[in-house]
Amino acid sequence: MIKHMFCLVFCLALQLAPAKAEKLTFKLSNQIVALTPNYTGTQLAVFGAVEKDSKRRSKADQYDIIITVTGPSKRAFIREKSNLGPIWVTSEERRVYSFPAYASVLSSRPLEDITTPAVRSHLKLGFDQMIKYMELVGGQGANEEKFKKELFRLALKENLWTQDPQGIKFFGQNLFHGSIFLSSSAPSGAYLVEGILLADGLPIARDSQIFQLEKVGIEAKIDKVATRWPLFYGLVVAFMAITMGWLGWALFKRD
Amino acid sequence: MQIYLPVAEISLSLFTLLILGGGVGIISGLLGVGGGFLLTPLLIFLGIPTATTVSTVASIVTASSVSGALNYWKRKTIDFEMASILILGGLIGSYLGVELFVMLKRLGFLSITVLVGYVVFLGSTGFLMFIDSIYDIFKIQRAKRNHFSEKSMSILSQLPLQRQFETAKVRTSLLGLVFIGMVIGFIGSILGLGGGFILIPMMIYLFRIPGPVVLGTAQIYIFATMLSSTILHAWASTSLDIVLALILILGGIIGSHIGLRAQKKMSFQHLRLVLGILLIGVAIHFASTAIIEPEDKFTLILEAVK
Repeated sequence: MIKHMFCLVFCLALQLAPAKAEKLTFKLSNQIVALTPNYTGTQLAVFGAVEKDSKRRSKADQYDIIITVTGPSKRAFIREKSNLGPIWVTSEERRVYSFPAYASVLSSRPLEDITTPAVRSHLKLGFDQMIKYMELVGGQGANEEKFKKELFRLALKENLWTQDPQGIKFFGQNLFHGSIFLSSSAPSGAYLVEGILLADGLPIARDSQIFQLEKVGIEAKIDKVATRWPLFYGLVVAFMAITMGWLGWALFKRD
Repeated sequence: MQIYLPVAEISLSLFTLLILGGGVGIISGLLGVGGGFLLTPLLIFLGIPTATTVSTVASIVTASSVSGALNYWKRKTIDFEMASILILGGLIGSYLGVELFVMLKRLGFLSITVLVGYVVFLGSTGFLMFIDSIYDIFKIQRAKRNHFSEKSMSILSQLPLQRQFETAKVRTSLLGLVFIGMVIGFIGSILGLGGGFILIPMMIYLFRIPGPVVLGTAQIYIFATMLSSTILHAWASTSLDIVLALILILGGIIGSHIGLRAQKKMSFQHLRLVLGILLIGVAIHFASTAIIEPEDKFTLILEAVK
């Protein structure tokens, strides 16, 4: 990992030829993360560099970077319980048809310190903005704000969404690094990593990368059979269950 | 040691899963029930998605019922004729149950129905078994109970289409058996259960079938319904996890062997007492989740987009 990091940093440093506008470049330590049987979560490194503009006035020495990682989408159901006499039952439900089951926002400073709410709203930077534009289905629009607030709270509570306002650290003059953490229950699929460079609270450059959390080997084959040939898969599992039940009986029947 | 489950997309401890499968196996071997009513809430508690849990539990109960059925077959305590009549009713009942399931889901009454169903059926069956085995063990006079069950027995077992069952050694109505099969299939498909724990007391109390034959015949019924449920769930929801099934079945085989050995040393009354207490316990657990004010009134559930 460390060797990898120096190599990347070196390559990025080489690209820093003088130029007119700022440029943002970053790389990930892995493009593919394999979901092997012993997968229990992992960590990806982000390394990058800011190519400075020689003409920019000295005041803009403070650069900021916000990196947003968005994982595969799932269908989300948010349910509220209320009391019906003495028992507590689900009384209301809202659905989100495309909800990122993984999201992470890493930044060099707290987002509120980096830029204004107006800019964040335009660029959809930060979870509060992501939630704001999310479409809730059900309830004819009633209590939408309340459900959005709860959705955000639960996504953070269950560690589906994570944010780290110190997640990006500058080192040297214009190099930076950070870490993307994936839990053991992170969904498989494509993860988009979008980086944005800000100076004086305004966006000045962007870069993006993608990585895959993939099932490999036997796991990939099982998943493929289960989704593409479900009837065959069901018959295989049924056959396995019967065989194992019979074997269990045959092994112990002497007692 | 952690193991990654490819369809559930979650990594869990192999040891925990083996212990869980073994524990449920002991109970199913000992008491002659599938154990789905215990395994389903436990797997959901471990964080496995509900759809995966329901379909995988069906495959696990299939395996344990094969072992169980083979045992009873050797002891010649299965009435195949009676089992096929019950299965026929079960198929009709499951079909109707699935229809109601879809309707309740659309109307938003599903979760409350399932909750009340669990509490009512597990609680009342457990209570009935508990009281009855206490009466038997302490040889208490039971005029009142006999009066009730004799009466209900006379209605169901004296319906038309009478037939003498060879293995069970009872003369009873085919129509009554189809009806019982239907009721179990109906309840089972709504609550996501095999229904063995309801079928067994019904066969004992309403049809007066001898204990060993009840266990053997119920095992065949459970096998048939859970086998079809495994295949249908895998086909319809594509969420069955073969790795999870394999681990739990392995644990279950060892567990049910222990359970079956222990069963030989226990009387039928004591087994009913244990099952009764277990059912009451699960019913109380479900009831308490509904009565105690939840710490967090909101829940977030994610479902894969297929």
